[in-house]
Amino acid sequence: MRRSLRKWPVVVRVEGLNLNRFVRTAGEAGIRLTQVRRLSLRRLKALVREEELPALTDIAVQGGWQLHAGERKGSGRVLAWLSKRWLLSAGAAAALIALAAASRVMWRIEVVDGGSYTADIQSALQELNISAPMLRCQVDIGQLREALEWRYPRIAWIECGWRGTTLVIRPVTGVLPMQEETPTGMRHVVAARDAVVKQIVTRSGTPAVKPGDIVRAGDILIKGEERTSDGAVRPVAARGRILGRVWQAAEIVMPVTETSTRYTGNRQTVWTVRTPWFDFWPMADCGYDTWDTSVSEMPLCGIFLPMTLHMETRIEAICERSRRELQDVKAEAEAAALRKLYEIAGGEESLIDIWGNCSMIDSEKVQASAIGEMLVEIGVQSSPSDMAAPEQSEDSG
Amino acid sequence: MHEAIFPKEVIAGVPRLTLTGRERLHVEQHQGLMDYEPEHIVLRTVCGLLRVTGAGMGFQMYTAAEAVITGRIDQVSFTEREGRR
Repeated sequence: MRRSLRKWPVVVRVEGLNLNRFVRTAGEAGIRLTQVRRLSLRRLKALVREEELPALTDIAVQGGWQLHAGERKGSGRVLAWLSKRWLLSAGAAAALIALAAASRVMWRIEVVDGGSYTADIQSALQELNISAPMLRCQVDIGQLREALEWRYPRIAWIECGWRGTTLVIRPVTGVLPMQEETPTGMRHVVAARDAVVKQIVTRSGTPAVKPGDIVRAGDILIKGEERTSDGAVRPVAARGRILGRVWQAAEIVMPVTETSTRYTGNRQTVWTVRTPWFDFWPMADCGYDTWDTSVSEMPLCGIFLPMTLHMETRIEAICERSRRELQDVKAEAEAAALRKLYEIAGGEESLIDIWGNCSMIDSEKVQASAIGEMLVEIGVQSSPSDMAAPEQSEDSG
Repeated sequence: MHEAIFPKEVIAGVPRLTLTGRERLHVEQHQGLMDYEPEHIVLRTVCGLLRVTGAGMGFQMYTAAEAVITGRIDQVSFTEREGRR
């Protein structure tokens, strides 16, 4: 470092008489002077390489000139400044090297506008062994794009590229063209459930039922065809609104007897010290036929040692069966059936008529049923794959 | 057999002058600086004294064999006698 620095030019100022001789003598001594400028009659400024400065100084001393060497010029001056601060220079160099190395690494992967594909693209990248951080040269962008486009055929194209040290992947979803109505696009409107047709409004297609008809689930309500003026039949996607009367039933079975508990007043308390793995001593068996149990757990040693005092109190109880008033049971069963019907129908508002029935079965139980009538839309458009099934059901219906 | 042809300036040590515009004069094979002022520079050559007059002149480079004079150059001339302007 120091040897190379000696090649940098240094400013020298010379004072004295007959400066021409000074320049000539320096030249004859093989010293290369540059930027020689006469400042005044007795003063001169020039640049000389630092390694030639001692020889020039000797010439000046021998000839009686006064020579003042100044600072280095140009980049040599910067290098001299840096050489005095080698720690700073080394740090800056290390930082530059680290920066250059870091810029060769992929630190992030970003999926832009991925939508529902985002998570799957990330798993696909893991399958391709692409994960941050890794060297950028190990990621083949073209190969990655091809692999992703092969994996997602419904995506129009995939943009892969670098933004700094981030791998950016942007799937561009294609917009499918509108499907044209073709002969294979014939679709019926079929019944979604058993019903009696109340009203039918046909917007396209040919109605196959009339108000008052009983239809079963799957029956064709509006056919997916229309007759043209020349007598030909044209397939269409049938549309319309069909209201039907449907019924919902809810049933409840309720016992006439009820079981009640009576405590005798006898009780037994047992306890043990319990750990998750074993009990310090076993607890005694209970001598009652039927009983209720009250348990309390008290930690003994805190959370670091899971040991608890386990205490059980057993209270003797006797179960007795008694017969209830039949009217009360019926009323309770009817109310329960009605509540169940509301839950099934989705609310009281949709029901246009409700009635119920209550009867005793097996002399021990009461069966209550509630039936509600609703007016609902029963027509659904069949999917192309279901076209065969409605045709068959049409015959059966 | 061909006789080797050497340029005259190489054999006889005659100076070679290259003038670039009016700002730069390259002098090769001079024999030393005789006088230097910003208005005139005198170099000794085998052909006599080379006198360069102008203004604000200086040496961009000076060695024992060649010199590059920069500044505004008005006149370049040779004189037979040494030493005096």
